[in-house]
Amino acid sequence: MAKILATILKELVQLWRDKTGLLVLFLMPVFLVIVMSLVQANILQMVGETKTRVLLLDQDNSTLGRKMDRALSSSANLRVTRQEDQGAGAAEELLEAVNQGTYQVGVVIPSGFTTLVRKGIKKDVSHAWGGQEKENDPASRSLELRVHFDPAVRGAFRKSVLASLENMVLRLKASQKMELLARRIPREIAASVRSELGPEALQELSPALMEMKSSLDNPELFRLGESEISSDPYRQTPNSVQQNVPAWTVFSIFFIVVPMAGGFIKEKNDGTLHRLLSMPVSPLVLIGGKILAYALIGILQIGVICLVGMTLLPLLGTSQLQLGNAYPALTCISVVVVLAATSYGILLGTLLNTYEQASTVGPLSIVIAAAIGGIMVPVYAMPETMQAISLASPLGWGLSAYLEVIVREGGLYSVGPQCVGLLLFSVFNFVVAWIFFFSSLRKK
Amino acid sequence: MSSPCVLQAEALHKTYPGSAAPAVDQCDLTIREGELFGLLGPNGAGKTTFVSLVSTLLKPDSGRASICGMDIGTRPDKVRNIIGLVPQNIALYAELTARENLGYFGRLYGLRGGKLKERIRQCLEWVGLEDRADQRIGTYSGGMKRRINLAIGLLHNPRFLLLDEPTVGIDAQSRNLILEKLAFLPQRGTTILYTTHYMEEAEKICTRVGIIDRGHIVAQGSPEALLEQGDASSLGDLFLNMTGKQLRD
Repeated sequence: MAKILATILKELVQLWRDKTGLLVLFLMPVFLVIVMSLVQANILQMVGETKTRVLLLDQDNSTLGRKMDRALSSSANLRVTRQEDQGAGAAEELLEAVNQGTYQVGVVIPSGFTTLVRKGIKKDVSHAWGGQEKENDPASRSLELRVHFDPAVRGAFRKSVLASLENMVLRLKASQKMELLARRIPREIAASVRSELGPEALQELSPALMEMKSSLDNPELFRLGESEISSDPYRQTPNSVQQNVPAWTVFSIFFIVVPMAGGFIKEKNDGTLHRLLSMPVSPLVLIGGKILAYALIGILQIGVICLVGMTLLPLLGTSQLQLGNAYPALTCISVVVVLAATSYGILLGTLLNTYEQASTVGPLSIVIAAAIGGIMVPVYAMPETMQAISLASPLGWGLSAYLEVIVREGGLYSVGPQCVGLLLFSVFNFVVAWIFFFSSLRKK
Repeated sequence: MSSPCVLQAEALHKTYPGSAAPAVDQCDLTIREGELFGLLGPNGAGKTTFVSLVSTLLKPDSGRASICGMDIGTRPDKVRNIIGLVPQNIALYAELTARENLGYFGRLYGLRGGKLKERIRQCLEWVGLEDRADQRIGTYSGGMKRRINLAIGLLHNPRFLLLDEPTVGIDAQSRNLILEKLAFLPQRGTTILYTTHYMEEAEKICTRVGIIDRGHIVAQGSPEALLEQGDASSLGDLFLNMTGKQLRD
């Protein structure tokens, strides 16, 4: 035990004095997390993955305008701000705010919206009942719910917002029609029954007609909003903080292979390893000490980057990192990711011969695995072929496990496959490293 | 009555994978307690391989060797407790201070607490680096590094010290200090196997020398006896007579 502790201490002191190594292991990931979170937060806003900022100008100030306001505000994906100033230049002010990007969408509910909609619906219903000829009212033809977009908002997102608004308008229309029909249908039936069957029959039918009115006039119809559909956790994609904090944490943990493999190669080349192996100490203690020292560094990296996600990023305007309550799963993932990274460091240290090789092969292989594994660009944003290839990246396994817990509230069971994969990766690295370690000793 | 054997090697043989010629070829060597044995040979003669074999780093293809009666093949852990290896390279951690290096290697030898501190102090004093003990090795001169390299091999008071060219590339003062200190070690109970290129060093401090060439020990005995036997005026002349003047690398 004393020998393994001595080895851990020696590794930590060496690393502490390697200022460049510390910058790579701690400052680089913190910088990457901050920059990438801020950049991606902006991109996600542009494509509508975060709450869309909507400026609403309600010039109607009546029932339908308020219902429209409520419907917009109840959507989980919209953050609605009402424009207080409703004076003559209000529409221009809204346009300017949207053009400047302060709001991504501007919606103007024109004056007289309720009256015109109701009038139009009444005519539609009367026409359907066959009582009145449908005529073209110039006022209702000019009725327009105006939507303005920030010029930076992309086409697909515009279409999706427009579709949602159209859907909302249709619901309003349908609701208004149902209200009208709920009053009209029982009235028409009652009139027919009275004229055909007499007042006694109407009396018997009255409770049924009341029930019909109540069913047709069911306001609950309105509450079936799209927010219920989007609240399905399995359809959620991570926001920029949820994506970047675990992504760059996994990336930085794997970067410990550079000082780890480099240190091991140096020991091999300057004869220190030979001196160590001539001492009464097992190679397992020497390698175990290295692994434990770098595992501590990995755990510290996780702590530092999560702290940045929870405290610093919200100050810079992104959402706050929420880790949830699945601490056993998070601990399990962290342990296997650290184990995978340290085992890869040992493998490179045994396979490679110079520090230069380690400082080239190590980062290069990690950057490739990171790109494939969705560290730099989220896997869900990749083409299908790349999504399939991403399954081969151990960094991708780590990230996907973290996302499972942080975004989808998964537990130990749901991250099992990724954890087992990382564990097998570690075992493979250790076995190959062990074989090469002893075969290289035989070669001098 | 002769002193007990510290090293006894019999027909020790080692060929590296992929190499046609053996690095150590059927070597027999006995070193007795209190001896300072110099193993001399040109580059690639097999000196370092011989040291690696007897320090348990390499396994011989055939033959056997024992240190203080313990077989290196069957009891390597016991052997490692009583030997000290000073490799040819500066096998130290440049980012650590001399004291930290000594502390780390001392703990691996099983030293703890006050005993470790005392041994570190003695070793630093022995190599004249007490005042620079808390300075990082990376800032040391070549001679200072060599002295600490040697001090680490002596931390646990080994019964058998293996020195693989410990004075390569250092200044005259450091070399002189190392040789003076080494000459006293056998009297304190440490037997030494010393490999070197420098014949004058061997002539100065070794009680017995062996000349190794192409993996085979071609001559061994006291420097005086070898000079008389080879009809040479110095060990350098004798060495060239026995190993030839052609370049080896």
